Amino acid sequence: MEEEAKDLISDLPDAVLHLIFSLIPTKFVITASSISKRWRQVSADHLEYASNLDFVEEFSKHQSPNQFADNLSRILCINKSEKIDKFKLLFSPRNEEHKSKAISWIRFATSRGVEEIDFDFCRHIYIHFLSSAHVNNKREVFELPDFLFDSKTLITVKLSRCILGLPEEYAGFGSLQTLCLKEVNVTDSMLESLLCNCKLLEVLVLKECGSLTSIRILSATRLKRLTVYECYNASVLEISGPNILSLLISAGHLDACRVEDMVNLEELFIGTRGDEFGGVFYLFMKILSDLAHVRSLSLYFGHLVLSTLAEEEDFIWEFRKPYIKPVDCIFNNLRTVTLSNFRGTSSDIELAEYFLLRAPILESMFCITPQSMNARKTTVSKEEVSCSTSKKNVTKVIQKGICDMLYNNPYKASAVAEIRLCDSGERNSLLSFFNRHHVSDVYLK
Amino acid sequence: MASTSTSTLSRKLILKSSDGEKFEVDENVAMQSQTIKHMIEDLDDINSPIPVSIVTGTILSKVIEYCKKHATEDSDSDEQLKQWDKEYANNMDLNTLYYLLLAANYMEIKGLLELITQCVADMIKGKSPEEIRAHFNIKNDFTPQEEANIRNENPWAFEN
Repeated sequence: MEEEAKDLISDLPDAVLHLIFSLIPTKFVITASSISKRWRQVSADHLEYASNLDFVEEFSKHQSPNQFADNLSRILCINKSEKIDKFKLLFSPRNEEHKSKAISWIRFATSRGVEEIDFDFCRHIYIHFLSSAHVNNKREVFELPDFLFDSKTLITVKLSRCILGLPEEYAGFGSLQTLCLKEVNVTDSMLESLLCNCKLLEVLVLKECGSLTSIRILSATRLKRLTVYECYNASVLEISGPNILSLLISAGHLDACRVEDMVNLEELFIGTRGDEFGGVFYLFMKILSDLAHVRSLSLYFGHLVLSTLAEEEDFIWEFRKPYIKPVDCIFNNLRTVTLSNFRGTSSDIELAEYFLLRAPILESMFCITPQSMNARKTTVSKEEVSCSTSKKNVTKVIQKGICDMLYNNPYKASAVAEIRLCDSGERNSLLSFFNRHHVSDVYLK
Repeated sequence: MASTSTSTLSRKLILKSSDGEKFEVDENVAMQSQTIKHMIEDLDDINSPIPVSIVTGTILSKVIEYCKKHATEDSDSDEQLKQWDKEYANNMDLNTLYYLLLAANYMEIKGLLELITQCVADMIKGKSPEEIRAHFNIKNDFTPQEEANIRNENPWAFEN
């Protein structure tokens, strides 16, 4: 017990303390300087040689954009590290001066051989509300400088809310393995050029890139993990990749969707909040037959209609969730199926049965009830709480009954298949899948 | 290198802690420590105990527990291993974490060092300087004036 009161951490060798400091946000390295004389020394040394810099939410707190820019520039100024590993930035450039500062920070990072960048340039203006025609008004949006594309050291590139102006003579990021584009203005041909020239690319994320009209991912032969999430102006999606292991597709509308040559695909998530006519559901069910060899499959089907009236909401859900047109195929490798947004409606049951009958080695089926059923109770008055909770319980009982019924289905192809009804709180495997696909913030409602 | 891979796998080594406790471990378990790996290369007699001079028996047993878990490659998925790591680190008190850090640093066990530094970093993150002092029993050796001066260098960083 006596030992408990000793300050051991300050006695750690400098090297170990620097390791710890490299794992905490830059802002806390600064605040740590006021802890004690020992920490002040380590903090000062660390800022001088930090190779892992982040200027995100924490850093921007209590600072005006001008102060943010000045303090950031000051910290870079004292940095003597020859090599920068990681540079994270969340900044909304509001004027030309901000933009030129941002460019100087990017130059700092690339000139020191940065390996990982995570830049988010705009917290306030959402490019995806602007169609490609409107983006001609580029005044507000930050455009990445050409020299960034000459980097040979970048392994991970994450970009959000900016314009990616790929130079014509782009020769590829020589080392790039991970590319995440979120709400980035990028054209179809730039995407093609990126894919052609980044030969080592293993992870690609396209999230809400409204400027894409046709997404063709055909030449990234090393690609292992692919995410195409709600690029709402894209009407064509074509994917081919012999090494893709994990795929996430989410779309509200598509005219055409083609998948080819994905012989190694192991896990697949298909999500849609639907379109007016349900066409995308049919399209997705059709591509499932081309991917029937997956081991793990998760589906989120349903149109998100927010309504405060519970009954009306159920009615709309049922109305918008179309019946699934069966595609005749056998899911020979399928071990787990996750059905999100499971409300126990007749189309839900039909979908569950569809897989039970066609997956001979199925081990588990998870039926996840939507969060809106749980969430409602936190926002309404006390009286309504008891009402909605009891309604929730009734729903739960009905859903449980459905799961039992499915479990006892005489036509079940796999005798061992277990069927579990889960709360949205128990979908850890789905959340870790979203995390791996760099879209941890989606489908939370 | 002349010996076959099966015999290398089954070879046993004896590690001796600073307080004289001896541990018999498989070679592939011990080899996760770069320090021990280098020591073995210079060693003539593989059967004599290898001294791990600054690590006590209590801590060494915890280090070995970690190395054993990470030496068997195929049994667990990455996610299960991560979960195991998390529980392993969460079960340690501050003192143990400190000695484990010293041991992992001295023995050069990269994974263990990363695990424990991350664990300590998570304790620091989001805490005010006062809270960090309280958590780690760090004595404030600044005069009030000195501390005020430091805060004035970056006032924005100290606002809540």
